[in-house]
Amino acid sequence: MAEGQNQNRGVAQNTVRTEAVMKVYARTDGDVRALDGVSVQVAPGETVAITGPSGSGKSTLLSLIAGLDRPTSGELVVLGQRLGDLNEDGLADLRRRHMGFVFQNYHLIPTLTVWENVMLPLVPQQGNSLGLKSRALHCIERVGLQKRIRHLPGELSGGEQQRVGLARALVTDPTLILADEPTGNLDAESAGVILDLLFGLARDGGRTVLLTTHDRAVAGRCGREIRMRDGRVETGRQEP
Amino acid sequence: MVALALREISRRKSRTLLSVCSFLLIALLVAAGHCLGRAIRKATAEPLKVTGADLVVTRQVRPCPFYAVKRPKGLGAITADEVRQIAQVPGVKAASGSLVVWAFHEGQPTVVTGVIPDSVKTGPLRQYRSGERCCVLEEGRLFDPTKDETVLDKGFADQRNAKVGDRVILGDREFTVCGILKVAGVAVIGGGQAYLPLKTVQDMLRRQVPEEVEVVDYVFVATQRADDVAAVTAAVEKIIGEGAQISSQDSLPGEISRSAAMTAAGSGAFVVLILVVGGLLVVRGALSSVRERVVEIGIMRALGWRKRHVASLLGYETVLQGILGAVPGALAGYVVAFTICAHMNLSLPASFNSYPPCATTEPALELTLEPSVSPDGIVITLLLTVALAVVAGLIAGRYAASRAPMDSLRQP
Repeated sequence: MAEGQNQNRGVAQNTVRTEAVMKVYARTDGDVRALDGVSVQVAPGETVAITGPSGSGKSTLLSLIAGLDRPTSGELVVLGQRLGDLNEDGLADLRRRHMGFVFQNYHLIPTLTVWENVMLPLVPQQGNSLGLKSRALHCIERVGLQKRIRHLPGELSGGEQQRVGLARALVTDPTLILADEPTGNLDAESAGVILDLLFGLARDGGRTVLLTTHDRAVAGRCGREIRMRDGRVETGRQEP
Repeated sequence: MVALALREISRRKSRTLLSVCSFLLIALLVAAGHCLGRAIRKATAEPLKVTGADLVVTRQVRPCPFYAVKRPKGLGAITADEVRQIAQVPGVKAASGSLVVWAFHEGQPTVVTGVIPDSVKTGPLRQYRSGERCCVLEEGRLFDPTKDETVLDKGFADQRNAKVGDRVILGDREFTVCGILKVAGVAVIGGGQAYLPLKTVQDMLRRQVPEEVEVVDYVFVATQRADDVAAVTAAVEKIIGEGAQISSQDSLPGEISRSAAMTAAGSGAFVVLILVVGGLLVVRGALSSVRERVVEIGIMRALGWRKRHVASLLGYETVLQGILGAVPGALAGYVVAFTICAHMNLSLPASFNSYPPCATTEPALELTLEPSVSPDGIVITLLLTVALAVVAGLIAGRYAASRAPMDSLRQP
């Protein structure tokens, strides 16, 4: 099944395409223009880093691509779906079926074990629970946490928590992985492990990876870099 | 989803405990209120059941002057004509009067009740038994109206050491004891220490107060159907006029005490009040729990949970907490109700106390509260508590799901 999906992922259609996307936050002390006419394209299987200083709009762009927020204007097409045409449930379904999320501060649910956190995206999914469980177990094994399966997040190190986050992002076998500063809270060694896992798993599944970072080293490991400043795309570095 | 909800509530111990305790308290109050209400309704219905009547009619008047034989303080005379009129009211199956008087001998009064000897289907001498509780002729027989015979209350007979065949003086006449009436655990309306034929008591009273001919002071009315009680009450009120006091199964709790009335007649309203107040507290608690979990909810939404999935999870959690609280709460409610019933003293209103303060025996006015565990009470308690949990869960779930995922994730 994975191979068939990989073949589909190989079609020429962009995984992500944004056209003149603008996002303005209304504040009492004046509007804040977080994104100002951003147009980017990400091809299937690409690994793209969105870089830029704090407040440049990296995370906002990522959240719009994930359908977690709506743009003020402009168009977003993700995995062939025009996000503006989808309602809340449609966006949720798109995220659940085709996207995996990795957060900077892991965003694990503290009362759930590693196993339960990884299973979380599958809970609303109807289907063969045995198949879903074996998929979750496989993901946990891939990130090397099979011995910590019954542990709570509080009992894990930062690097381990992020590995749980990675396993959770992969459990639905997503086409697109979105990672918001995935190594932002980690030391260099843990960050290296996470990036190895992330890029390795993405490469094996032919997945598209879109991550935000302000770490030049992390960006350097990506195939392409989209540099942002003040809500605009400044420059880009193409894959050699 | 249910398994996840169960795990969530099992790991959020303090929050779950608080929520379960709220539901427990609600279930406790509902079960206790329901059980107490039933017990009080049953207890207050019994005195009428003892007399076989649906209504008891009296006329309240100012105390009459002293005579050797006199009506009890405050009880007015109801004439034979008025009793006949009551009997003819549409919906009335039977109406019979009894006359309670204080008959003095050597300065000591005896409460004497005159009843129609050949009609004991209604009134204080009616045979009644409910388990251990009874109003029955324990020894001897009912009086022969052609002879000077009396039936004595067992407590009075024991105190006087009187047995069947003995002679007792009531007022200015002597009677032979022909029977002993045992009253145990039931309240008797219009009961006395001695029972005589109605005609005899009316004669005794007329000799002292010549204008009181064929009068009674209690009228026991049996209606054809329970639905007739209200219409009959209105008609009887018109016949008796000023001072009419008509007691029915519905009005008795109110005549006993305000709290008894509220608990008995208003147990439904009481339950609604508990549900409204408890519901507000539970919803507040559920919303507060959601506010604590805003980021978690944002994570779930970011991972592709639809709004209804989030709402379902929170709904299941609240319902599980509701069930966890409802079951022990219902049991505790019954324990509380049984304890209250064991220590609660209820008795018929003072207007039914025909005994003078100097009477040598106590009137049978105590109401026996017999709480019972009813399946419908348990089902009602569980259903209402769980329904409340469903409502709280829905409100909390909708609130949780209404937040934009990014807003939730941005929470500090």
